[in-house]
Amino acid sequence: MIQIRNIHVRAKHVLLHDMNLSLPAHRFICLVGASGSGKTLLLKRLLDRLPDGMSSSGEVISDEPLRRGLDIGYIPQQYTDAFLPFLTMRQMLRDTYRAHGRKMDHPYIDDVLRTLELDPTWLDRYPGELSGGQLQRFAILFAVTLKPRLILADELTTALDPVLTRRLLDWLTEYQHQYGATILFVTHELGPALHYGEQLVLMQDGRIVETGTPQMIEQSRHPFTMSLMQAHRTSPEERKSSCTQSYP
Amino acid sequence: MKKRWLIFGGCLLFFISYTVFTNSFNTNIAKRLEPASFEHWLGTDGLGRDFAARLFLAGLISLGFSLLTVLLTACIGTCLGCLAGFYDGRLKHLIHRLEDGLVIFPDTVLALVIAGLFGASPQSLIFAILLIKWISYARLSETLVTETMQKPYISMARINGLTDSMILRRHILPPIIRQVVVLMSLDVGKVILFLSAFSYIGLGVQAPLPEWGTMLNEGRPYFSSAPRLMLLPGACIVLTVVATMGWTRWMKKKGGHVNDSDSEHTRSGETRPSA
Amino acid sequence: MHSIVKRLLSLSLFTLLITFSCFVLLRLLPGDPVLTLLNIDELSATPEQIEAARRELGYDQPMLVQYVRWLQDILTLRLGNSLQTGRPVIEMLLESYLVTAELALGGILIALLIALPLGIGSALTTRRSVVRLAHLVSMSGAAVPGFWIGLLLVDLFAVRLGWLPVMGREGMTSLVLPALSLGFPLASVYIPLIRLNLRRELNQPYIELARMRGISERTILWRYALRGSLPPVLSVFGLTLGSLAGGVVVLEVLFAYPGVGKLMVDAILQRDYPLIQGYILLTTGIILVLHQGVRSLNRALRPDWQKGTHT
Repeated sequence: MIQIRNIHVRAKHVLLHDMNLSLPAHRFICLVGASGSGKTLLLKRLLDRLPDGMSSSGEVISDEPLRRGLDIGYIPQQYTDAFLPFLTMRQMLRDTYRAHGRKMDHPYIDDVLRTLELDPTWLDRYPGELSGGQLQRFAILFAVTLKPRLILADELTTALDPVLTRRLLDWLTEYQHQYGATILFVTHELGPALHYGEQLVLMQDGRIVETGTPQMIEQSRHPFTMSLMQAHRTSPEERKSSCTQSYP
Repeated sequence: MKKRWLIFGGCLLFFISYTVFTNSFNTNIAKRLEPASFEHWLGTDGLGRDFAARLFLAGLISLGFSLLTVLLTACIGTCLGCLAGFYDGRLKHLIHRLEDGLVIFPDTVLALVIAGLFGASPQSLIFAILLIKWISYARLSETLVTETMQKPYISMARINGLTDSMILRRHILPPIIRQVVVLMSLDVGKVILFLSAFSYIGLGVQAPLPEWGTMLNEGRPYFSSAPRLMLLPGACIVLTVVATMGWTRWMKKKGGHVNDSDSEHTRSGETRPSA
Repeated sequence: MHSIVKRLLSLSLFTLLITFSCFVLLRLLPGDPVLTLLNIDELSATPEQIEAARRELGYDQPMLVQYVRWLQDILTLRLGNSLQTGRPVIEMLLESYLVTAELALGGILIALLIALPLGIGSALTTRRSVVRLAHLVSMSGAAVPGFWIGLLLVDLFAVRLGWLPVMGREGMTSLVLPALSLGFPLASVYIPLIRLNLRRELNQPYIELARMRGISERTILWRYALRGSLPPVLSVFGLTLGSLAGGVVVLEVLFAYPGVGKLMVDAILQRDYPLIQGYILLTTGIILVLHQGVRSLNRALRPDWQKGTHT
């Protein structure tokens, strides 16, 4: 169980206002908000990697240590620049294990590769030789390779095709159940959050606006939540059909 | 600001007249190594010549030499670079071949070689410097031309009916000139260092013309008796080079960001030291 | 494989071109080449002697034959004898190259001792004093002529204090002052180069993401950031090596250090053409080899650059 208590982050202005949140084990939590709402900043605060020039107060309480890579896995939004261009994927993976004094868990890695539909021979490739989708999946592998109990997924859905996205989110849910992990899934799209999340946290301008189960969010009377739901309900198909209706 | 220029100009005028009216070449063994006096403001050197006048004349010669060399190199380099950028085809390839062939040669080596083949003189030095430094200007201008040509306003200009030469003059040359001038200012300092080094060993400006490097050589035996003979020319070199660096910085600030060869084009030979 | 063959071909073509231009240039010099090569003038030798020399040196043959024979000599490193000492050019050159290499290594060592701490340090700290110090050292090294430093050092430490030898080459102590005079201006180039490239590398997104995986700062600096920042620095280093290969001219003259630079200065002043010619050829060869070495090193540092899809 990880508790976020009174986290306050400021640079020139206040960026995160008094955030309070619980991250229990075995839970799929979705952090929803527009860009600039502070979601990524919260992730960085959890990882203790706030950019220079920012100060923060408040605390992150956890019964067990929260070491980067070992206890927290981070799946970045920009996976294209996530890897060192002059090392093979295998070398980087080995470095990750070595950094925590562990030996490579080959059976587990092979298993994950298989589930993510990654060819094991690609481990010996350089990042420049892999496609965007492959890199995204490798990013997931790197995040889960040490079996951390908290996974931070930053905008996983934005840049990939819907099929792949679906598969990845299904896989994350499996990981959650298998290892009792907490998944903190950050997105600006309400759709996947409603579908996969067990608990939703809506953020706006550095504040938590509302939090609850998908059903609670769907029925919420809060103005921000309602506008988000409205935008979500007006799906592309509906928008298209409404267009054709206007022009006979 | 204006006052600074006035003072500077006044000093310059003063020194020039001092040099003009004092002879830098009359040797007078009887009056050698005299300390500063009313007649000779910085004293005399080992051969009885007025030191201050020689110092300043050397400065004029150094500056003249480097300005001339840099100007020549910049013109030729920029022309070739623009041609390579503007016209695709055999000319571009030829220029690239030339660049690849000559970029290998270090400056000192080439200067030695040319001095060896054509005799040691300032002209050989100019030729050697030319052969090496034109490449940085050529590459800079070619890159700039190519970049600018891709910009949409060029094709708009063409559609509007502007001729090639008009496009060249109005749209392409101004940004190039700005950056070329920055590069030139940096090179002036380097050429001065180069010249003084080669004059020191006797392969540059020949006696009896004064040059700071040569004067350092001349002043060496008198270090204990008259240290100024060795300290002042060196200090002059340093001050002049620092001044060119300051000038470069000022121009960079005015002209904005420059495609600095120090950071990107590591093959342009700009960051080679001249020992 | 294909690329190696292509490279060898272009290299040999290039060498051929240089040798040919060398050959032509020497023939174009004013005056009778035989007289020039023998360093005599028409008065001190009889016509028969001159003719004998001409035949012996092969100057009575047609141009192309001369070129081929000259090329043969070059390729077997028979570069003739020096006009000053009469010794084989190749011997003299090799001897002096070793000396220059010694000096160059000393200078490079000093330069590294100055540039590495300052370059890396100024890239890592946030303290402005360190950055300013690095900048100051770099600027002084660039503005001050190396040989002036040499002169001052000699007159201070050798003449006045007598701690170090004034000139010549006798053991390690003679290396100190020249190496210092060489290393300091050299460092001035590398300090900003290292700093710039290291900072650029440290700001790359993959460095931060490596931290997110828990990679230690030490690994990040020494195994990731430095390696990534090395290629541009090495390229410049290759150019530096090439410049040094030609001889550290001024310093060698100043300190009377018997390296290639000093050899050449004397050769130029004495118009010792065989020596000059041998120098041109040998130095070009050495520089080409050095450049190739640097290129291979860079490719080893960045194996991903060979694999096509590099953006």
